[in-house]
Amino acid sequence: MVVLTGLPSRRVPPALRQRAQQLISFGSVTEKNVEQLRKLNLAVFPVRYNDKFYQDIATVNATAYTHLAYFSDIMVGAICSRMEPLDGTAFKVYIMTIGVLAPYRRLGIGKRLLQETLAACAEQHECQEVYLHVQVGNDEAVQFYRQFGFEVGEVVKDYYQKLEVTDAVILSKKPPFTQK
Amino acid sequence: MAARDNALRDNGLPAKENTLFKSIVKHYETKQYKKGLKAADIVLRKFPEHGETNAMKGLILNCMERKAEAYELVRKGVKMDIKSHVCWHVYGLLYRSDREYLQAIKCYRSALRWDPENIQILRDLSLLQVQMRDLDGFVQTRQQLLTLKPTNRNNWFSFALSQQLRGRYKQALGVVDAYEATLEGAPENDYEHSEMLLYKNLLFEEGGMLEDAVNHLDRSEPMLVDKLFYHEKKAQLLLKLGRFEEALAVYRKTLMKRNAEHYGYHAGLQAATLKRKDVVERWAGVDASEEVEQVLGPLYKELQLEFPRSSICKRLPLDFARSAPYFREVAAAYIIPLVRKGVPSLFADIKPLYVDSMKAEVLGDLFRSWLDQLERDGKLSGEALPELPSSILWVRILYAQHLDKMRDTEGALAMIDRAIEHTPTLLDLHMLKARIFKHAGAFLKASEQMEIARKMDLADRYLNTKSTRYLLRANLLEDATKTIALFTKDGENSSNLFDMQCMWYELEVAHCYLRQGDFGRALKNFTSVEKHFGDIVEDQFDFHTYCIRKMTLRAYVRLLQLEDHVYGHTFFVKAACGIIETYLRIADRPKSSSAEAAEAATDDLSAAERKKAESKRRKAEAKAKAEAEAKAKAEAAAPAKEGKGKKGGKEKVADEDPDGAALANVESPLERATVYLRTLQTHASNELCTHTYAFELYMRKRRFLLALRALRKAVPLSRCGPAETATVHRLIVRFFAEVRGAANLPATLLAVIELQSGALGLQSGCELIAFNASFLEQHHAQPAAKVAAAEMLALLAPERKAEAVSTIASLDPSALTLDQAIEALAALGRLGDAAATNDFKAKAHGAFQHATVFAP
Repeated sequence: MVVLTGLPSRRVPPALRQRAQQLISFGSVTEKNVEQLRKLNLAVFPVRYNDKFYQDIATVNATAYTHLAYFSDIMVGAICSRMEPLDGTAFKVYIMTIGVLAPYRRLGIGKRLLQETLAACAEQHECQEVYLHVQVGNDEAVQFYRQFGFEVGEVVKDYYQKLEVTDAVILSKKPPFTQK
Repeated sequence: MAARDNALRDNGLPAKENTLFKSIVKHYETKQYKKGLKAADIVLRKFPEHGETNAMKGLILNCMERKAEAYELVRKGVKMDIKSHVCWHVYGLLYRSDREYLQAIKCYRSALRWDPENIQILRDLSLLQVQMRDLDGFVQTRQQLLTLKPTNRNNWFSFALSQQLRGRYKQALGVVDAYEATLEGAPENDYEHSEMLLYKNLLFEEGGMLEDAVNHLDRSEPMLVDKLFYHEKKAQLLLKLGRFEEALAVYRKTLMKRNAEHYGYHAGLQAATLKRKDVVERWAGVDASEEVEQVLGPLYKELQLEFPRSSICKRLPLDFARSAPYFREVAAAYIIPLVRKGVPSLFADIKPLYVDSMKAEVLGDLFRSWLDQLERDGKLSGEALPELPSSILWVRILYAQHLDKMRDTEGALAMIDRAIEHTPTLLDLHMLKARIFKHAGAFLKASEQMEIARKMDLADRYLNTKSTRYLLRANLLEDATKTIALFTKDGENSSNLFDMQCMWYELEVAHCYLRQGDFGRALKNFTSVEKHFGDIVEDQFDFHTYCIRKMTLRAYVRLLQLEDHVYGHTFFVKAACGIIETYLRIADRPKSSSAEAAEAATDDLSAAERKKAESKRRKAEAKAKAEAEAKAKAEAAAPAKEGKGKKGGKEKVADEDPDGAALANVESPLERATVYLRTLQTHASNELCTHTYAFELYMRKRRFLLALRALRKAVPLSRCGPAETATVHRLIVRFFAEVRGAANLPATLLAVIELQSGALGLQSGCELIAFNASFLEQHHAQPAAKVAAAEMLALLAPERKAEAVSTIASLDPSALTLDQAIEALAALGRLGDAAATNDFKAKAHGAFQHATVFAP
């Protein structure tokens, strides 16, 4: 689930964006702070995730691909991914959610989150692919991922059952995950 | 412990047994109790009537938790050999181990009768004397010890210290001088020598010899190790002497450069600049002239330039600011950077400024205007760049707290909700919301919000603590117990909280039980706090020897002073007030049902449930007992380990009264309460509650002169605020109504009381109704006074009750504070007018819609 709608119309001046960069830091999900992630997702996404979703994120060893973004020590964004095993030791990483609280968008936080996960993927040779779903018609999101070298793939019919636009498009990226 | 040389005296044993006896003493000293016991038994087999051996055996048994036997044996020993100083000494040690110091002192004195120069016993005696603050005795004993053994440095300083504690500074200085005269060559230990010099300096200062103190300090400077203290003390002394220029130089040129974040240095610097001897650490709430602002303003401008990273240099101008424009300027300069940074404690930092209504208004104005600017343009006026998104969040947080402080609950809630909408992940917001609800009297809602915050960071002990506290305020005792257990070592074992001296928790739990009418458990928890204070006083024992040996005399003297005042600590005052309150309620319980009430004292449970609880308690007791026994066994089996903690065995003794039933079921609750009252009167005479409780107790005991004394002490404290004024007025009226209406009081007593009435503001012979009316006239603007006067009118003239009721009922709740409204409702309830009570409650519910007390 990727939402990049509702962006503030105001452009952020570069000087401010730069100042903001120094205030961004990252952390990981634990069973102690997972409630904050729930609050974040509740505010960002139209879909409600169940308790199991959060339990898995906090306990499963996929925490390397799940990152929390802090702005001036406040949790404002998160990327949640899971490992999906392929043949042998190989696996793919599926990005389940990536979102930033509305007031904190346009500061480069989402970008940094995705970079964190891609960097984690680059360290694992067995990681074959990173992929995700985007709602059809969300061009801004597609544009966002293309910057990172994601390629547009097939359309999945009726992926989102409870939303107005139900179709999703798959975006995926193969190694190398980071530019040198 | 026991003097080894004691054993050398002819004790009537043949050589072989005498060797064995010496080994008993040795085993006792090395804590090898089993071996000691064995040796004692061998001696006793041959000489069962040997007093000293019996006594030593008793002493050893005492350490093995066999108290009853111990006392029996030691007493037997003393009887068999009443002229033996060993027996008496052992008897004293036994009492000392049970903290029966007065008894122990008597025993030591008896021992000294038979061996007046026994250094060991003299030393033990002196420790008890200083512990009990028998200062005259302490001086004597220390003098004797010094005379007996002048080669020991400790004896010199103990003697000097004993003189100091008696306030004889000249003599104390004389002792230190005499000791110094014996010194030759360079000091062996630089640190100890330096401490000695500083101690001497303290004697000069405490003795009021300030000039001597400064000169001595300067002379000693090359030998002082604690250089920072030298500068601090010098500056303080110069200030006290009124040598402002010199003091200023030390503060400004030395101390400020070492640490610009030290409140004490700033206070000193300000005093020196203003040329005043009284040091003001925080100006908020202190009356100061405009002159202060004019002098200190430029000084802080300079300091801010000199120490650009210092936050105190920016903060302090907010305190001494007196004019609105200046305050506005310095407040904005201080707060804006912190808003950008995001400092959760910012409001707590500036809250003290709200005692000044001008400052409250300016702050509110600033927050509102920043919020407007940010909402409109995304930036503060005059700034080129927009603000980062967190700035508006922190301004909303500040403004919400401001509104809450100004008692605008709805505004505060709306503001905090907007902040939550902006950043739902910031748990501080839910804490603030909880606090707003708490201030609005909605304890359940407050607790719900605090739980939300707690769940957002389960690793945070502070949140856990807060949540526990809020649960207790909402009377959710069970949830609170579970929550606090998340962070205690043994889980849900409350003994852990007792061992940690977790007093805030015990106080909250006690109040929670008291609200529910469970007097026994309330007392149980209140008295736990009292026990901790007993332990704190006890803890100083080890320092009596340690500090002297290590020459940390300054710190030792401070410790003694702290212990002298420890019962004035808020926690103790709260606990003692709670105990007195509980006993008053127990005493006021209707007599007819007292048997039943005693039955149900522990709980409002049904008979079956009570039975169950009782059996549960018995089981718990049995279990604890078994554990204690098992532990005692384990300890006896491993004597080597015992060295670690001498109290180890004591801790797990079964609690014989886990529900406090015995505490609540006393013959004369008022007498029990009086014990605590006395402590409060000695140590907390500045608290109004001390005197109101004294009044309540003595009135119930019909000790009118003592009640009168309480009133006289209460009157000066009644000026603290309108609520206090009203409280004391009630007491005065009640007192005279009772006394004048009482039959059969001795004429002299009445005469004395009427003689004192002037001091309470009541002209002799003045009618109480007139007195009450003139009080109302004087304080007619104060709702608390109105309520009090009305209630007293109904007491004095029952036929005018309707008038009293209508006076209170006509109060507009929206013009009252929550506390005032609660008090008004309570007063209506006491007057017994159900209709007026319900009307007022409904009105108050409109004004305080969240407050649980007014909820329909």
